[in-house]
Amino acid sequence: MTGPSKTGPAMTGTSSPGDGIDRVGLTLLYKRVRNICDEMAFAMMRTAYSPIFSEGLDFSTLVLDRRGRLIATAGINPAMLGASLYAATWIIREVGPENFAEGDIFVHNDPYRGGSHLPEHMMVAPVYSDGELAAFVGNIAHLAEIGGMAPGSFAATATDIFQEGLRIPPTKLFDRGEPVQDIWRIMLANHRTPNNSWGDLHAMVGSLRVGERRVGGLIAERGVDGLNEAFEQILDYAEAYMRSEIAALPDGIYTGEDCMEDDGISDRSYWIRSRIIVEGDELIFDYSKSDEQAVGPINAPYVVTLSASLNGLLYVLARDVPVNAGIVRPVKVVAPAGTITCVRLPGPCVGGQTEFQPRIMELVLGQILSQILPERAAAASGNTSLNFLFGGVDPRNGEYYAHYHFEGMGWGGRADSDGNSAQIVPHANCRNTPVEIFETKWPWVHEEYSLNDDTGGAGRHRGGLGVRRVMEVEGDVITVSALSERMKRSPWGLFGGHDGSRTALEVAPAGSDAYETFQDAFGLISPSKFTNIRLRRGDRVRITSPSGGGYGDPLERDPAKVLADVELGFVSRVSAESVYGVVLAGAPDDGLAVDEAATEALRRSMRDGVA
Amino acid sequence: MAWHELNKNWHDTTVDYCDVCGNLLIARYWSFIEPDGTETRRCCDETCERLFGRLRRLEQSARDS
Repeated sequence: MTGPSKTGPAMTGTSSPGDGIDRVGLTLLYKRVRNICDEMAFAMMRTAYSPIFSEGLDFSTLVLDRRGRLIATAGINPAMLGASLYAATWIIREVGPENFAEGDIFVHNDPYRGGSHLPEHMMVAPVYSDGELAAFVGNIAHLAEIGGMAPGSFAATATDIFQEGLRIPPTKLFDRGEPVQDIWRIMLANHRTPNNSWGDLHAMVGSLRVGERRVGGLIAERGVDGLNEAFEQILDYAEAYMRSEIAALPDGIYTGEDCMEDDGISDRSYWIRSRIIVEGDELIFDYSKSDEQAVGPINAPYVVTLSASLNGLLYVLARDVPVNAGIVRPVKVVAPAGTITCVRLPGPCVGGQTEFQPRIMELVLGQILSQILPERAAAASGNTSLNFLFGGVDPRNGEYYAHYHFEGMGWGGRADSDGNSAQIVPHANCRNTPVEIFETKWPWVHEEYSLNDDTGGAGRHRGGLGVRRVMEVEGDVITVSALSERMKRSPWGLFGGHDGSRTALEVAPAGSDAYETFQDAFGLISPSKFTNIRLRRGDRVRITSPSGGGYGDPLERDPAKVLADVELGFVSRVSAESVYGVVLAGAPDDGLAVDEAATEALRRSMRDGVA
Repeated sequence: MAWHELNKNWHDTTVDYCDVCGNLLIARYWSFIEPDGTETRRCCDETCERLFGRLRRLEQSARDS
């Protein structure tokens, strides 16, 4: 088979799809629209109150045409792609374009109206030119606390969506530039940390105002119709690009499966079964054979399954394609309602976005597409956001606080490099919250935050390392919850690479060094999903994040890289020999070197099964 | 085969799903009568029909083989 080109046709190239258009002008326009999204993102990052915005970057910014179709998004959080494609459209159709006015802003966070999960709020504002609706700008951002049964609004034991927080259908938050105070009061009264919500929601508003001004500048240059015609061409281009990439794949049906370990309510696992059907220049993701929806909150709304599927595809195909509504035209996702891939009301789904989505994404790019594009696939990452939530009254100021924390972990090895270490799960592109921010904002003191050495899945390209975080409660009482995965099943290696290591969540009571799992300490059903555990001053929590799986046979790893790993502490000398077959000479203090003859002999005997 | 409005009351909080792909129905749906006389509700028109036809062919060929 002839693989698709790595970069795809350039928008400015002579062989680009869509003859008859000004490709140079179109490229410049698209870059400007992307820059508008970036500027909107910076405005949000710099003005927000919560670290989940300013440090974690758990948001996305959008420019949409006058029909609400996505034209461009800042390349920040691909996990929100599905919602970016559908949630704004939903608002516009439900409200009706004729019911918008200049200065209006609508908000909505409903997973049963195109949202991903309740914490992620979408705002949309129309852009007018002389009274004519010309475009929309929007953003989606994860608010750290929106009420519900657990501080941090990530209730791992929720059994319906009503326990997950305040659900808002498309609702006018600003009316012709003026805040709709009744709506603000309802929202803030239902959040545990209303001051933070106030600041973060206004950061979103400010971001929209930046977008309105910049899109207004484009309209002044091109006119409403001219701009929307160019938007249409950008969509057509993206569609043609995707079709050309899919057409280069061999027709066929490719299958794979993986599971969610449990749903926090019972011990049973839930299986996701996927088949990818490639036919001509179109592609179908079919999840019809997946398990029924779970009782607990690991279910996905349709847009989350869509996001995961598209992101898995975009990791290996059409990597330069403008990410907009055009890319989804040749790609269909079948996720029947009532399965874990498309939750029915009132099923809970807060964990679908953070745990289910990366599971599907890596199933697609690692297990399934590796069958036809092995050179672009990757082994499994730690594949959990490892959500750790906490809240309480801060003894330093008497104010209620709450935080939604996600942890870095190891990514999987890939064909041309090792997996990244200590990085947030690949579907979201978020950043970790620094220890300094942690300790300034909340009553925790860190004892350790380090790479978890010697855990990366061995391989020709090694899996990245997870982290270990140990912290002590500094307040009288703190309420913690968790929603994570990869405690029962390891991140898988690929093409002979070894599996990565697993997640662990442990606790030691004040004055003791004896750590035990939260499950054992508190008699929980699930080791990885629990809600509202009360810890006391001096108690310590140890979070160990998983490492990535390895890619390829470890005996094929360049011995010089193994030596470098040992010198950096990533791999132990024992593992270098027993797993990689690399014999090192010398002492660490005097400098190590690869004993090439001994290494070759050891590797030969390991391959022969003698060692 | 035609578009139909969902025609919900403003206070109706129920949710409707596409019978073909599972996506949510927004405000309206595309109705199609199956050969056995049942009505399916879809989120899009010809595209959904093509998709449905393709999946049916695949299921049939899987059964035949």
